[in-house]
Amino acid sequence: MARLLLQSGGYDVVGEAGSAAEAIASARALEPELVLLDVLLPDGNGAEVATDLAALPHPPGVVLTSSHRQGGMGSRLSTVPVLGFVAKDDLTVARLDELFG
Amino acid sequence: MTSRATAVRLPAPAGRWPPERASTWLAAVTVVVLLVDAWVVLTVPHRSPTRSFVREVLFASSWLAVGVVALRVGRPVLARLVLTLALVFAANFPGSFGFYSDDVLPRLMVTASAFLVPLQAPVAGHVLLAYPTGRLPGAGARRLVRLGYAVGLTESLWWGFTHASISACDACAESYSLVGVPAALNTGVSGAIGLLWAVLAVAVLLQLGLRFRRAGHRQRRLLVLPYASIAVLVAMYGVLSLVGASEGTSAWALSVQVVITFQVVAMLGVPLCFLVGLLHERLSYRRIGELVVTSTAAGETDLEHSLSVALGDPQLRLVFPLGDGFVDGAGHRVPRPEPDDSTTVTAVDTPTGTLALIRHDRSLSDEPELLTAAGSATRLIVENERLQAEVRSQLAEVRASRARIVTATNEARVRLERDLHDGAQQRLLAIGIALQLLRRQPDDPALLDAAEEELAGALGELRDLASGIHPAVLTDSGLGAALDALARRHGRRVVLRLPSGPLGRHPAPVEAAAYFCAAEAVTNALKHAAAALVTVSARERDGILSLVVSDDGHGGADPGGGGLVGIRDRLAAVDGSLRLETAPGVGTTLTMELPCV
Repeated sequence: MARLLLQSGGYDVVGEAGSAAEAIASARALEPELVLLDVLLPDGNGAEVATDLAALPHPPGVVLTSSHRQGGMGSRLSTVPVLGFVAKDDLTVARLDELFG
Repeated sequence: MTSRATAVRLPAPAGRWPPERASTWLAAVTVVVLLVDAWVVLTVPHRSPTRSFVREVLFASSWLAVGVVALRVGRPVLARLVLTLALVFAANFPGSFGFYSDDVLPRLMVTASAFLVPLQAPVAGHVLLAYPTGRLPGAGARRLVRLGYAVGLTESLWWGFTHASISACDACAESYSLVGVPAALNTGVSGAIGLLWAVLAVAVLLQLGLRFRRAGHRQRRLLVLPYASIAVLVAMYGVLSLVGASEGTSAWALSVQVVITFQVVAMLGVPLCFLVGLLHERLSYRRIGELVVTSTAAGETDLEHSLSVALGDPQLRLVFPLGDGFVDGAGHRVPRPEPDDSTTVTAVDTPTGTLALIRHDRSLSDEPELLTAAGSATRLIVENERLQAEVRSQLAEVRASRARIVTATNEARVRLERDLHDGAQQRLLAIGIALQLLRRQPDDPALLDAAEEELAGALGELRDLASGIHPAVLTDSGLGAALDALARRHGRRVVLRLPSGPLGRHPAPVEAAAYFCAAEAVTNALKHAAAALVTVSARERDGILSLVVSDDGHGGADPGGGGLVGIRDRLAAVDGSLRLETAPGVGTTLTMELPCV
């Protein structure tokens, strides 16, 4: 559904991943410009994944999302190398455009 | 020989004259005789000085006191013997006072005295040999005492008919039983009897010495004072005899002053020593009582030492049966205690078996009440310690179980949050996005389909989640229906066997515990044991709800594993129990029993 949303906003969806490991592997392979990343992942935490992504040769711009407000991370959010955070019930094309710039 | 502390009883009272009653009567008669003595001595003029009367009354009274104390400390047999001695002393001494009267009463007293004087020695010997129990310890002692009485009775008859009185003055009251015999015959018979007495006295002394040498530490402490007083007495008699011999007369004919000194020391010293011995023993009872109080209050650890001090027996050993062998208080393996010359072994029994063995001084066996008290104290203290340990271990188990329940609750909350987040919440968010997109492309059928699908999925997941938290069917229709729904959810892999009648309804905590334990057991069997078929059966009998979950999986379930511990905790909360049978390759069977009345 997120794919449909992004596509409707004119974004080109190059890949999807179901876990932290998969996300890092496909980001390394596909070298996307932007990544929409869930905080709560089956095998890890979105914040850690964002840190790993920032260390890639071609780091993508990352927006974190979560069903919790603030991603359940509170002030820790400011220390993570991301473009921003959007709560899932606030996930609109307009908001994404604003964060991705 | 192993005696049983619990089985030890005092011997049954013998007929109409149990020793307690006999002792009481003897004491009363002795008091009456002393009063009569006093009355006669005070009213009838006599030759002996008054101070010798005081001395004699003191002497008889001191033995009376020993007898009464023996009776009070629970030695009625000894008391009977000692009071007999007191009575003989009380009845015979006026005979030597030389009453200047021909009245009936003084003459009767002189007559009685003549017969009783020779009986003092055998009764005194009997007391000595039978101390401290009142019973003669062996065949040798019994033979000696029988011989003593035989000689005593013989002399009693001879003396009774041939001696007017010991003082034998011309003007004094005469015995009624006086028969004149030639002086030479009298001297001969008296001499022969005297010789017999000497032999018997030596035999008694040997017997006492032998007994003291064989006695254990504790018994020696009981015997030492009375025996020492006898030894001093014998030594004094020996010295006096030697002095007497050197002067060419018998010991009794020495100067009145020496004899009186000798008598006073002997008369008052010996009973005093017996009295101290008996009272000292009495302290043991008090110490046993204190032992129970202090050890239950302060958690006394060295029970063996405490018992040893309380019973005054440094040789005392306390061991506890463990498996095939025995351990001491510190838990070290020790050999089975065996009785020897001075010690014997007593078992402390409880209805469930032998609690402890006490190896102790043989003299303690003569005091069944003290031994029973010590056994009871041991039982009380050991049982108390065992109960405390049991309570401590139960408390630790309850604490651990409570901690596990809290942890399990927290884990369940985390799991629930996760399930909601990953399931229904994601689907609802997806529906939100679909609606957002539909606003832009109102006619996209793919979006409508997707939204519909997510909605159905979200509903299904919420339903499953709710039934996992607490299935509505359990509350509405009871355990049978809930188990049926559980089995259906797993398809053909789970078979439910219920009794023909419906399962009754039970308090909600019992039904919930039964349901979740069954659900957990089924999950374990399917997930961890790779079972192809799980059978769940339930039945109720005699107020016990039994649930059996058996599988054909690979077995080898870990009783300490999280799943089984959780089941056990749930069951424990409703006083239920769990039995686990598991073997590799055979499968696992869990039998859960819950009281449901």
